[in-house]
Amino acid sequence: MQTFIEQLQAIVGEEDVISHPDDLLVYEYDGSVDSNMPCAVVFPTSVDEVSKVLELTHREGIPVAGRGSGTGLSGGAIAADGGIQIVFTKMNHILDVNVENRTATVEPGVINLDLDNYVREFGMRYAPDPSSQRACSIGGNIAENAGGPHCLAYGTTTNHVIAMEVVLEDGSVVNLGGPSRDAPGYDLRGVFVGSEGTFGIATQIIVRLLPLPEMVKTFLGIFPDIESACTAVSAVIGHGIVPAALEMIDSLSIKAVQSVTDAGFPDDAGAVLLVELEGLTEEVEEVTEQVESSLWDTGAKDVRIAQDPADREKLWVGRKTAFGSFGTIAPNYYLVDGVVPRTRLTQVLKRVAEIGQTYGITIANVFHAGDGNLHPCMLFDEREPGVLDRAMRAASEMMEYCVEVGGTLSGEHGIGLEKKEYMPLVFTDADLAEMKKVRNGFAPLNLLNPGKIFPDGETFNLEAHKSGPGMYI
Amino acid sequence: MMVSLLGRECVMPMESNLAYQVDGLVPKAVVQVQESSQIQAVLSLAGQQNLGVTPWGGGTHQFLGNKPSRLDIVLDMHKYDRILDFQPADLTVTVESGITLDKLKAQLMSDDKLVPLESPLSDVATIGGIVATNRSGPLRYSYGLPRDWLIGSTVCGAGGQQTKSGGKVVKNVTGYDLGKLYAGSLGTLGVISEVTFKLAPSNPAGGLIVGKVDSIDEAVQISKELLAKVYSPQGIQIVDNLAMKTIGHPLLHTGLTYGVMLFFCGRVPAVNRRMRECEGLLESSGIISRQMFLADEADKLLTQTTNSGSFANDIPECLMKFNVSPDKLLAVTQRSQAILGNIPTALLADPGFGVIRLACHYSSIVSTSEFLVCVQSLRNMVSQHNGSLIIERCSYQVKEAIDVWGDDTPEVKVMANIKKQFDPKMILNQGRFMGHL
Repeated sequence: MQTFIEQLQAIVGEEDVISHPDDLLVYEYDGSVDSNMPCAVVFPTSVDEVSKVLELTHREGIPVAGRGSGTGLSGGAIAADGGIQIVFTKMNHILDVNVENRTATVEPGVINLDLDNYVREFGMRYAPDPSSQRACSIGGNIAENAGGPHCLAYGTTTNHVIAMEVVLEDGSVVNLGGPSRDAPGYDLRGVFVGSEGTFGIATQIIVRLLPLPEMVKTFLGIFPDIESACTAVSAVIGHGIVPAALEMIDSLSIKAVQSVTDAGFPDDAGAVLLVELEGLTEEVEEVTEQVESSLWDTGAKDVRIAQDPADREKLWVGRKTAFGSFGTIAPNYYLVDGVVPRTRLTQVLKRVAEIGQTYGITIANVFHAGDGNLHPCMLFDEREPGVLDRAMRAASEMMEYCVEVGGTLSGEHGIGLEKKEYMPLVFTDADLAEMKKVRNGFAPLNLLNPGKIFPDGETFNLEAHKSGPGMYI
Repeated sequence: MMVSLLGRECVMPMESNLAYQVDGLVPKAVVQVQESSQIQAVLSLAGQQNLGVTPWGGGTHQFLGNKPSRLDIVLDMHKYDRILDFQPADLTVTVESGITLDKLKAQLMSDDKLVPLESPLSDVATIGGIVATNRSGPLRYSYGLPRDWLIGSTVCGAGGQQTKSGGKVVKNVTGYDLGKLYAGSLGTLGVISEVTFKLAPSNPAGGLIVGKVDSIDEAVQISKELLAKVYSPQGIQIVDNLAMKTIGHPLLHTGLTYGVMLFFCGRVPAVNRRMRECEGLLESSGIISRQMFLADEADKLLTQTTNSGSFANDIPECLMKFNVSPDKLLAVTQRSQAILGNIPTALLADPGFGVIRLACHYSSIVSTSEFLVCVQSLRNMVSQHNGSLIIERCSYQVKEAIDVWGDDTPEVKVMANIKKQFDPKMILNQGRFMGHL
């Protein structure tokens, strides 16, 4: 009688199953603060293998978590107790690019930025660009409906997925969506995106590509404080302009970024606003003056325009390396992902600062101002007694406040483990029961990423990472 | 029963019920609601009494879907039509689902905002109906579909419970995106009562260029070239002579074989550039006969072209909708024309999006049973091209003989599971959807 591990090995090959605790340590955690050890990790290379693995886990009642690059920030890739992870690092091929249809067919392990860079050779782009795009996978992006700075104009992942091949909980394979964006039937494709791996496992995806814009213009507005920068956001949108991206970086973040790379952010700025316009030359030129005047009129100390692609790249490297640069301030961070109506930004950021002071937590703000998606980033050293608890309580108050002002818990990171107990702030029991009906329709045994999204009173105990001097990882 | 539940003023007199028939089935009661509590009360009662319910907006697209297996109550939503919350600075609006698209757009325009939805008969079609049918128009290539603009919804379920999903923020991954499920579900999972959309700034300028071409090949080829350009139009429709007549604008070309209609909208300098460059490309491609329309005339033609999508001006005996990838559009159109032979057919195709509509008047050429053979051939053909064919509109006779959605696919099983979860007693528009759900 084969053991469970032996059965997994028979499907994917011995070398593609990990089960030793020392090897499993890497897969215990993702980009969030939660962690839990899987009992095995498998690395399939085909839909057939994924299907057979899920047939097995379905038969045995074993929970399964899909995992791309493990960069998620809400605990989505963390295995349930006694569960396995299916990791897609070996299913990482771009299978086809169709220029006429403006589509690409990819496996779930393809890295977001790799896809974008690849299709640029064909004069196209893949628009969803989360800050982790150098590392995160398309499969993970689909699970969380990932966004990024440019989703302000172009939408999130759900607007860029046309069809998927999906393996269901019982191992059966279905195709969701169709060759055109208006496929008949219930939009299973649409509801699957953002379902955090609880409905099925995507093994092949057809994504929508966009043409490269004729002109890109990137502005850096330099402000004395965050309040004037927030006012500038409303002013730009108030002119009837929806930029391709509208990002804000506060003074603490600027200092951190400039300490690791020269992004051209002035050290003495209270906040900077990165505004990017894309489109026909005529469109961009027409609104340039309006954007500039919006920034000056709301108190900008200076407004700079990127002179060339290298200049622009420098600004974006500054923005996208912000979270990595926080390591120069503190060894650990915890990020909130609340979304609020754009017009409430000033009010909410003020409250965020107050909460930071109350709990004695340093907070840096780097976020998607254009769509109201905040990222207050709490910086601390988890070895300090009690600080993790204070950070969690501060985050809790911030999320509650976001909901109080008409916003919600998560703009792009997902609910996962991290925020599931906060769902009752937004949804009633009846609302949540209705959502569970969809999950039951896809996965009646709830074996796929169980314990995520819905409150159940169970959380993993947060503790500092299990590493110390002398431990080899 | 309804009168005692809701009051006489909400229940239509019996003689009105005929106007609310669906595929020959006349409801026993028609209820006009004005409050969400009334929607809940009707559904709760229907659930208890096991009565079939059909939501009804403007009634403009009740011909869609298979024949319902039962129809006891029509829930007329058109008086449930208030704008609940309009936040122009946040670019969001929340409405009751019975509001018409025109009424909503007029209100938004007063603040230079736009909800980029299109529907035939937009003065009558309601937001709830447009979302439930996921209806779109010529600008779908740029704007997408209603589900792409929906950020929050409140729905009354089959048991009378009212639930919400999404929210009023333009970016949101809190919980499952149930709005995607409700959009296009033909009211079979719940009655959409409130909807929140994200908005766009309004378009200061609009335009239309119509070029006359001699063949479908030429029409598709020039469309491909235009769509590949940075100055591409916001939407392209390929029409044949019969479809052009259906659009029915006195200034439009007549006697053409095919026309390519290029739609433009946006800021003035950009629209000017797009139109100038596109016209240049038509000219250099040898498309000599061209017409240009601007501003109000272009808007009017956009409306009339959108209306022609359901062929309400000249109701066909059969209206078919093909969904294919754009690179298969030419092949599918040509093969369809070959299969249909001499059957008079109007063609309206969207080469950027991959949607083809064929409106047939077959009875002068073939019998119904012969036509059904054609339909099966068309289905087989489009399946070979990985597309789908839906019969959007047809006679009761055809509906009795055919599943308008085509053959079931494996994902219909998932749809059926979901339907069973949401509507276990099968009271909502039962039988009309894929898989006769």
